Amino acid sequence: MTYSTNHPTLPLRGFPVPRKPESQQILWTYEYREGRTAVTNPSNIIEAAQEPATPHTNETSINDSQWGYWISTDKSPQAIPSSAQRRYLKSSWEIMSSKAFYNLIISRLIRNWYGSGGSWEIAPSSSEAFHDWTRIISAWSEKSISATFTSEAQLQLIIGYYVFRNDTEVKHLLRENPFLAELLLDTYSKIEMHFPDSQVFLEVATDYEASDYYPGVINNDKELVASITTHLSPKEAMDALNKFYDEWWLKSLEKAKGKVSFSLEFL
Amino acid sequence: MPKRYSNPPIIEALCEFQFDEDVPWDLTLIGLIYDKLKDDFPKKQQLQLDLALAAATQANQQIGPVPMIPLVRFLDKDEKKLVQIGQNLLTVNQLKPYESWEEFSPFIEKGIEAYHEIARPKGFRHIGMRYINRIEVRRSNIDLENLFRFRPLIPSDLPQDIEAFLIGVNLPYENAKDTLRIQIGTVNPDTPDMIVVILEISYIFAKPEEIALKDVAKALETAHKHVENAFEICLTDELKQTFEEVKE
Repeated sequence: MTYSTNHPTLPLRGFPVPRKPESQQILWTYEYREGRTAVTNPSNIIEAAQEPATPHTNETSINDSQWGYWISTDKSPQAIPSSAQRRYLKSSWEIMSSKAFYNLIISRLIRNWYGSGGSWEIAPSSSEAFHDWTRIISAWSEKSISATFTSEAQLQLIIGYYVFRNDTEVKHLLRENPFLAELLLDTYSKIEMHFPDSQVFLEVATDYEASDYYPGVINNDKELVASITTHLSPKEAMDALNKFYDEWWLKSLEKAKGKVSFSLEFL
Repeated sequence: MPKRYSNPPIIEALCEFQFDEDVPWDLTLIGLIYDKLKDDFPKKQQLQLDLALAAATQANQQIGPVPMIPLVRFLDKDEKKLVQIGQNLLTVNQLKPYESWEEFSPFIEKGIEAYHEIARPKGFRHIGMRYINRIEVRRSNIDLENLFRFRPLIPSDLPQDIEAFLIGVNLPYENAKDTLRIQIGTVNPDTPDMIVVILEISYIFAKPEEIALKDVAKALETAHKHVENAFEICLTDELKQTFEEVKE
């Protein structure tokens, strides 16, 4: 699979380019890959094989994760499928949109703390969950003060929303740049608003033109590309992308420190 | 002379202080503490710790948030060092790369001084130090005995191929006044051919209320020595070679 990202030279003729801030322009170019088409020029959309994108969300078992408090995703013979898990995550997000992921962290923490089976179905009953209140608070307090722990928990939540391409590279980049975790979690709901039911892939790409604008950021030439898959027409998709940029991403650019860019993939 | 490594496995070192709850707390204190620390920790981040409660039955799971006092993070410009402030809570954290105790400890002192000057707590309720190490080994090379002196002992009549493990001990230190906690266990690796082991060494002061502010630095010095010593003891020379000792 080959892939290139939006580090462009020129905006493409006749193609709506998302508005960008004066200070930091992000221009859209093109990318290509197996199995899906890419944003280029609307007149130049490559016909794609219509094979649906296969989610390969990495799920691991709580039983595999022997570290008592380390957050893990769920997979067991009884576990619900990832699509249902994503629905669960989404619905939780709607209920607690402000800081849903922290709430989910603790809910998972509680589940891990008590749960030996590691499936949603056998999450602790309310009486179990409330039974030792002090213990729960204490566990949360002890673990939440570790920035590594919260970052790792956030990483597990990101896995619930995004699909990683080259899992190891993406996780490595996220671990090296923990400031991206909260941003990506916040961003997912904004993507979903404009591209409902779309899968979003994360992949590490090399930005050969990257400059050292952000001291302290590790591997300045590596960045994450979030590829939004969509069934929308190119025009509709670009309109949606423009809205996403206007309403959210342009305000978040500084937080991203040049480490995230977006592309579209047409199904 | 403590050993130094150019590629140490430490992913986080932190000191945690919980203070007596006798003194009233309000959110304006956080801003005042920030003023004291902003030269070293200019960036701010708020963690909303609405504690979610999972209430589940076989058929239904509900989650509801319980609001808690937010935890505020002040980060240095590289976001590798941070101070976290919460209600009667202060932590100072150093993420990878960890240079040395000599480099880390002044920031702990700055954090305590700033918190104490503004919040005026009467005493400590908890003092703890934690060092979290992440050690990655190729699965094909895994032989726990060659890597870890602190490891699970499997009776010979059981299968010796360990898929995963977790063990921990609490050891009395300083005439049983304090506790050294060692936990070691596997976590999910990023790739199936690797094994990732987390070694966490913590030192907890059993009687923090007896430690005066002026004595905290000395107490932490002692704690660090015990943690460092435990680190050296728990790992084999073979494993430590991969950390590349710096000869001075």
